[in-house]
Amino acid sequence: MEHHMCHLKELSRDILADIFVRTDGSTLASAACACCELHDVARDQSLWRQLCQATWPSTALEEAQHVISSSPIGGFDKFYAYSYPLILHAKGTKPMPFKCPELKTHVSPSELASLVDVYYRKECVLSKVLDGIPEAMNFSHAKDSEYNWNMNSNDCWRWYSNCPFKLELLSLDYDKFTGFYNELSYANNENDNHCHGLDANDEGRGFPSTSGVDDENLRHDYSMELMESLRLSWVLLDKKNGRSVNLSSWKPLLVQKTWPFHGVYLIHFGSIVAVEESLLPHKLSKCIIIVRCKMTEGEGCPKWMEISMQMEDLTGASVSGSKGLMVLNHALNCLQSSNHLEVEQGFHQYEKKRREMMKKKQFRETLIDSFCVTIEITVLVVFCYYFFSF
Amino acid sequence: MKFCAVKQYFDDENNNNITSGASTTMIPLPNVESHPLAILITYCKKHLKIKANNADNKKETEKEMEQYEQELLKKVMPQELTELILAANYLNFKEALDFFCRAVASAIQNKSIEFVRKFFGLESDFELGEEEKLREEFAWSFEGVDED
Repeated sequence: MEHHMCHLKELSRDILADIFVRTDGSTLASAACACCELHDVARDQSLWRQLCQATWPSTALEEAQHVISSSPIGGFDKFYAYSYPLILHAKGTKPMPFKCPELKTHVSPSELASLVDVYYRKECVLSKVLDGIPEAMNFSHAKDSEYNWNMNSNDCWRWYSNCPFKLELLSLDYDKFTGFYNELSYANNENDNHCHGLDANDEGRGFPSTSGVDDENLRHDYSMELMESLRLSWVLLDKKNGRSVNLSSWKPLLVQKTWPFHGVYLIHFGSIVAVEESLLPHKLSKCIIIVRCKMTEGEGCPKWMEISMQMEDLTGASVSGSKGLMVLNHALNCLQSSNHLEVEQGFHQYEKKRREMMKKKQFRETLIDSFCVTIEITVLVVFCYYFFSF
Repeated sequence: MKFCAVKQYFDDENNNNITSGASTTMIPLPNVESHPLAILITYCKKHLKIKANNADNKKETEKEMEQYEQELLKKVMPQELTELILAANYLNFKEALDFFCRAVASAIQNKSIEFVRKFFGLESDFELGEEEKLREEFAWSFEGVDED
């Protein structure tokens, strides 16, 4: 038994650290639960920091370092543990009780930070950090100063809380007058990767070029390729309470070509969050991450036009800004799972429930319509009878 | 010279002005057994040979090296890995140390706690309740773990 297996005691901590730096999160976790000595080695924050930075390159950005270190999250191992699994919507999941100490009645937009990474063909092509929600905080912080709103933060908050929830990471504005694509807002845009959004004047005047060669490129359907190669991670960090959650589904939920701009694709990622009935009827909200990009033949990776987050309830109606923040708060304390298959099944269940609900709604409306029509016909018949009998 | 510890020995010898006839000098390696040393020497020779054959083509070198490493792993028993790692560490042979660490890392990748304990020859020495707490804390990582 002496020489039967690898003898741990002979391996120094440096060598063990050298071994563990090449493993993933779940292996480190298994090692940490094996014995005291491995626990000490596997709990080393530098290992977890390296793992986080390899999994989410956005955590290596300067803004992220500042945001993570200033939050009470308690270490990169906790950050990994919260952010690695995806939100699970399982049948019979009950929302966390509202009186739970972690859930607050009000979430401030400045307490949230988003770390987003987009991967194409297994390589990270875009990493961004967004501190807070610029649209909900002071409007003068937004880069678009040409409108000169002069709103104070109260008005801004009132405006934001009543409008449909939207959290914009990246968006390019299509200037209808000149036909040029201009960069409108770009959250924290230092140290970009080369594969970021369209450059100004990229498209020339008007719509995309209509020369013969480009036509063929634009007609080719990249939907399957995007479905298989594009992955997105959106980690939301609660800076005040030191919790984080991955709001994305990792794989796309939907990829479709938008019309009439050929070559432009709309991709959805997201998660289903369970909430209380008092917040939203039907107790479910879908957090959708919208990605709009342009694909052309010969380009290494997609050109990003928009990356933003919206929310809707089971009926497909938009969720308001203030309710959206509450949904995010619930998401931070949601049930999670690293089993992607279960997560996908959760989505299918949600879609099924949604379809059933829409069917019921349609049936009810048809019933009411036919009832109204019957009454109208009866009234008409009775009226005609009395009219013609006199 | 890949075995940096041996190189250091030669450098020290030169500094002390002792005759350093490479063919006749005896270098003491008290912490390395003959069997792992033999494997390391073979690995080193193969590594240099492949590098010389594919001087310009780095990708080809890497590919051939990978193939050789896969074959080597099939012949090496898991229990020998510790000895090899310790030998490579003592000799300061970076490439071999890198390779064997990778081999151990992939051997324990995505395996259960019990497998890791068995692999390293360990027993749980946690206090009462401590292990349960840890298992609960890391519950997210145990889904999808390989069967032992």
